[in-house]
Amino acid sequence: MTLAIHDKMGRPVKGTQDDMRHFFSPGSIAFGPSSYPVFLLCLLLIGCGSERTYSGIWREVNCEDEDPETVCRNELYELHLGRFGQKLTGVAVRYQSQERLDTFERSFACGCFFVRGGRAEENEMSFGLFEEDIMCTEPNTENNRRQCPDCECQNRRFDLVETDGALIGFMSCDDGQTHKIRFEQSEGKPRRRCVDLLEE
Amino acid sequence: MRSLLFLIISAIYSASWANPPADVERLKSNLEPNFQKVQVTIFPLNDQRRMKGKASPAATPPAVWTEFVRHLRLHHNLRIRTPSSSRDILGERIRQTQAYTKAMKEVRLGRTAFDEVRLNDVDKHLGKALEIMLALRYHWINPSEVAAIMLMRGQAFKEAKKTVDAEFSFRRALEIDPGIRMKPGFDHPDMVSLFERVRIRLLNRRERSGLVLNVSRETRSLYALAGYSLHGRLTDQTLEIRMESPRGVLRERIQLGEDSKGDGQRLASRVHAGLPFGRNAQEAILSWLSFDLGFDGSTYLSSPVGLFPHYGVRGQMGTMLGETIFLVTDILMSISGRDFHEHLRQSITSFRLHFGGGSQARFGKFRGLITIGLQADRLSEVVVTNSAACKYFRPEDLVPRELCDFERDIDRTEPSWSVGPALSLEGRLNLFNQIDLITRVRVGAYVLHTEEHDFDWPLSGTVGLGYRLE
Repeated sequence: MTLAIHDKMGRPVKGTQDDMRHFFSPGSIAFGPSSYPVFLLCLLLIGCGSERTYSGIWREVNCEDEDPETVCRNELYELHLGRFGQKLTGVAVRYQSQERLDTFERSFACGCFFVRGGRAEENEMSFGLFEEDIMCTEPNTENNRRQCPDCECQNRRFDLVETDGALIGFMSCDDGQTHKIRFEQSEGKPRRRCVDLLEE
Repeated sequence: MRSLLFLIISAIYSASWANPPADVERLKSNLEPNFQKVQVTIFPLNDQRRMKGKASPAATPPAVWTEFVRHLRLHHNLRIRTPSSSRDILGERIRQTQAYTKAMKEVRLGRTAFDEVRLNDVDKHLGKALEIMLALRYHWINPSEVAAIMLMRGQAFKEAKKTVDAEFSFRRALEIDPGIRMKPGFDHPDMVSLFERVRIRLLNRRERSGLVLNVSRETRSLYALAGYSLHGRLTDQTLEIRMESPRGVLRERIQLGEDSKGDGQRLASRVHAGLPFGRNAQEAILSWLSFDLGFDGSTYLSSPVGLFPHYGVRGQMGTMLGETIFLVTDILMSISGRDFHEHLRQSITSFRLHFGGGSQARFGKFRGLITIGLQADRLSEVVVTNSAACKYFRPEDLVPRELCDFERDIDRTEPSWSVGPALSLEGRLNLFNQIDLITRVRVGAYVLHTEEHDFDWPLSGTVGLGYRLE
């Protein structure tokens, strides 16, 4: 949560609820009997709750004319994220891109991964994907409707920054491949399981 | 055993149903040592007979009034403040107020304007001064001073050809101080003539005072210590007593006869019958009973998941034991919000019972209270996890155990009771009548637990309203 706080010169200062938590932490200079009434007021009036910013569904957008660096690829990611304070978790689903069709159809899904090691601080986040120990295989040509390459690359990692409402950053792999990636937020109920996609 | 218990309860009930002694009997015998007398303040007499004839300064009070005061003072259940001491004590108190200082400043400005014949300014300044003085009821204490200012204002009105306003001012001046007069040979003959016309009209009509006072909040607090205020108004035929208290106004009047002494005594007896008797301080132990209800915000200063809020409703009942000591008991029901990281997986509902005693200090309409007590908290089951995956996924989602093991990564604490001391600071601001605005901060510590948990140092703040039964 971004707070609209102004410094002594009247300039806006950006902070997060985590900053507020630090403000009241025992190590803080502001900690003391005089800060408790303020804290209580905070409890009573606005509440000091959990941090869930960036939770929800984020869909990859590529081949955008205005961003030539975004590589056009055959597979797209859809992130189903859950943020809990400074930790991030969720599911990343891969879909085969279908020209002039809504790619993010269940029938176009070709991979599903649990997020692991996710971390979020202010407007930055990074996370990896939990990948089973499987051999890299090429797409199954017999039924390539639901098949993606099982190993696009190994140990995929996403480093994203929220900019103008979109998550923009890089996806990198162990082999050194890195490409720019962009996600935009989508409505809907975030996915919590992969088993239904993997079984089919 | 049951029979014995029945006998004891019967004895207590029988004693409570026994008739209390009559007030007359109590007056005849010596009053109890802790008896709290009724405060009665008698203000100087308004002797309407002085409206007749020439100017007459307030002289020796008439016999009927002196006898009335003397006879009232014989009732030893009353604490009487005589007219002279009322004038001294309340006069001094009024003169120390900012409002009085402001009124005096306006009077000085008005007098200067009067000397310089700036008639509009006279009305403006003296009008403001009189408004303040009447609101302070200064005319009860020093009627001649207030009447003189009214007279001066009336003269300014007459000079400005505002005859109706002038008559009104002269009439008010006479009502407040019936002995006030213009000075023939010094004041303008037209002025004296108008004043005399007003005086004669008042005498012929035998009108009652129509003075309607705007009583300010400051005045109420000034006169709060006066208790029951008695104002006497004497005419040729009657002596009327107007009895004012926060509970209302009561009038007693007696037709005057030949026996002034007997008249004064009879009126004093009737006024005494209209006053409360007073009460025994022993009986007054539970004189102050308060019921409060408020919204509560609380947290634990020591918690395994950091600070997180609880919201609840708190009800409290308190009673005074004597002047400064009181006992309170309260109940809080609350439900928690979530912590920043949502380590807490379900809201904690809590039920808190507190019993304590303390002391209070009073500053006008504000009371400050400090309480030390014992607090018992019932916490519902506490479910905590540090694993983000365990927070997001459910067991049926078949998440890999490397990410979340629902058996091992989630910690549960059974519902528990925790007991410990608590310290409260409370402020009560009287809003109106018996309604108070309450703010309270309380911090506690746990000494005993029925289940081990890491929550401690509960801190809470309450904002609410209270009803005080006195």
